[in-house]
Amino acid sequence: MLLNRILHFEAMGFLFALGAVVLFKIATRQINTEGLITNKDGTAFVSPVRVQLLLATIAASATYLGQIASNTTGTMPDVSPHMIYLFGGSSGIYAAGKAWTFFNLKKRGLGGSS
Amino acid sequence: MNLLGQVFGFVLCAFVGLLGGTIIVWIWQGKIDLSALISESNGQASMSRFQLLIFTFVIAIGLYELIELRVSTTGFPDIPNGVLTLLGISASTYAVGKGISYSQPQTLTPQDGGEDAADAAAAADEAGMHAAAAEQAAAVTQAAVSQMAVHAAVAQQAVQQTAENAAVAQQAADQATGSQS
Repeated sequence: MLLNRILHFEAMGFLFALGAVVLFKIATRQINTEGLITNKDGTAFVSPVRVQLLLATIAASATYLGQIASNTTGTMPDVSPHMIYLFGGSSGIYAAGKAWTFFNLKKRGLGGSS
Repeated sequence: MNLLGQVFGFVLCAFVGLLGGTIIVWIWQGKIDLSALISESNGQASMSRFQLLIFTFVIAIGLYELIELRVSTTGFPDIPNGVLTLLGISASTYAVGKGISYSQPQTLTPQDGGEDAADAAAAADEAGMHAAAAEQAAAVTQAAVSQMAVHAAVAQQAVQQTAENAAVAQQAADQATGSQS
């Protein structure tokens, strides 16, 4: 039982320490986040497509973490179909936006050959 | 046998703890470089990678909590289809994004390349300015050489004139000497 407690603290410590270090490095810009929510067509404006995907990601993650926290059944909680539709739609919009951006770059010749 | 199992368990715990601690410390010190954890090859951050990072942490925390709850039971917990679908959507988006990006390889060039190009352009401008200055100096030198040539010609003409004058003077002196005798 003592071994279980030690392993419990080790696993918890590693997981949360890793999360904290990554979060700290993102906050202090030691992990590059430049261009995360901006257009990649050279204009450097904030991209609504990326922002909505970021919000959808955070919403899905927070919802699932909440389900995990309130879970007492001993099984992983399932994701509701609505969340999957929302996330699938958001990701589809992101992929379509990215394709449109690169198509325009190609059309303008910034991408080089046809 | 029970004692051996206990010892083996403690050694394993110590190994796992040391491994995890070392990884965290090395990440903190920068020996394990995570600066490009969510960056693309062009140096800009990728939303897909960021999304995958968040989901990895969420699923890891979920599995950990679940295993903690199931400490009395055995076996690895089942992962619901909804979670797999969510991860599949995320990974597919990442793959599609990669496919689109790599269909335009020129857009994947590092941002540093832009800085290098700017530096090269500045150096070229400076070299051009130096070339113009050198050309101007060469023109000035050529003008000076031409001026010197003109002066040399004038001097040569003067010398020639002087020689002619000397010859005329000598002739006059000879005539004067002849008339006296």
